[in-house]
Amino acid sequence: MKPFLTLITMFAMFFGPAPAEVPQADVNLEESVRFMPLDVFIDSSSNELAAYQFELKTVAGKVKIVGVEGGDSDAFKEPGYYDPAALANDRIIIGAFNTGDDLPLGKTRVARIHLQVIGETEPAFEISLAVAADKNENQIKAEISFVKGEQK
Amino acid sequence: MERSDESLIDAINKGDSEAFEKLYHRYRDWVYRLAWRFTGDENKAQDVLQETFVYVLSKVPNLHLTAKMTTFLYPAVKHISFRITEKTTHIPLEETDDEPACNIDMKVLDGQSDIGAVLAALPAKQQEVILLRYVDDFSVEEIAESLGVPAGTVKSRLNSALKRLREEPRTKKYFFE
Amino acid sequence: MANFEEQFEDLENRLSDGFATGLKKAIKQPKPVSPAADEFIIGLAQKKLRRPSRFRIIRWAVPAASAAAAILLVAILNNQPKQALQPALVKETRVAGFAREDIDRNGQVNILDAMKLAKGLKQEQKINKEWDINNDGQVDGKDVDVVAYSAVRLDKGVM
Repeated sequence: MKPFLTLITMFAMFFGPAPAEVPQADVNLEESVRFMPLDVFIDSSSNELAAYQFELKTVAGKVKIVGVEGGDSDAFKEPGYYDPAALANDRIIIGAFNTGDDLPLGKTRVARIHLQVIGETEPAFEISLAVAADKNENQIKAEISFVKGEQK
Repeated sequence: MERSDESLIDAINKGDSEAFEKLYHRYRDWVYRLAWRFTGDENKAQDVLQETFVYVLSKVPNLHLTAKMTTFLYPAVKHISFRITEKTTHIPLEETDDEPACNIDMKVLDGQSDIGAVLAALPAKQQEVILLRYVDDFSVEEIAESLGVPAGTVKSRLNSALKRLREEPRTKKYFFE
Repeated sequence: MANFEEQFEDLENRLSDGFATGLKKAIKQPKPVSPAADEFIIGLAQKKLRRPSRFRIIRWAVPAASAAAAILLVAILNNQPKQALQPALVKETRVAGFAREDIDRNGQVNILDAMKLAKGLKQEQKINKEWDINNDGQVDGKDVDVVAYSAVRLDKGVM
């Protein structure tokens, strides 16, 4: 299902992300700025992957999340659900599901997160898989990993 | 005397819904017209308007203004508008000015207007800063804060845009020689 | 000062006010915001923000089923610390046990709750009225979205 925001989904936003931080430019003019994609993979082995939810957190470096894309398989080609407050933040939770039958097996790229990296410190991240499930909503064993894309 | 935004927000954080109503009416039309610019659809613009203020409400009781209210609202309106219209949810990686325009829906422009035609042809990033500067009356610093880029970048984009406008026969008349 | 900054200041000094006027005129004006849109937002604000008035209490004095739903909704929407809630509200929330978005009633709200609801709709299963998360009188994809966004809220991080 496409995670488009509708009038009614405002209730989800209404539940309140973390305490307010007005988005603002905190970039020192002397600091370098570059963009970097980060690809997230889930390996569900021999189980079909119908749903996932993960959290990515920055643990080193100065990073802002600037965008989210879907993955490779048709089932997850649309961006997953995420809190808009994650944009311009350095932490994000993404979840997606597909109720169809054409589901990926094995290692699949499920999302690409676009990052703005500020300064010279190499960014480091932690990622954790909260849930992975098959089409019967049974939780399945899966491994999550990420690959930092080319830095520009 | 009209209460400042900071005073209203302070009251809102303490649970004053009338203060929220004042703040809402103060910025409602600006948010709505901005959303209209992005979406080109009045119904979607109203959806964006509502979701933007729900987003504001979601920050309460920890809503703190460290910039102008419009500076705070602009990225939220833009993001929500792009999602509602299912436009790309990512910002292009390359820092060039050549990606397709996406900051103003063509339906919103007056087809008879020379300025409109020239604006439509500008690259997206130049279009955006021109609109923020000359329609929304943002300062360079406010534009920088809203877009999350250095002020120098804003000036560079404005410079590029103004140069094109001056070179373009349909808009050079707006420049004193 | 960088060269482009000087150029920019020079160009802007040469720009007549007619440009901004013309640009604003080039953008069509939308029809006005509908009163319904205003009422919706202001109504939400009134629910979320504390209103120590008799009106608030009277709104809760409704038939039991709607009162329970209203109390749960206010409890969910209210970001105030628990002690700011009236004792009755806290008691009702605890007794209720599960968040409304916890569709599978496992004590957690995550993407699987959204999936369960979506599948239920797709398979046209018997609709549970409690799944009308957004209280619009229908159980549909919008409720799925509400549940999904609840699952990915940043203040519910798993780490």
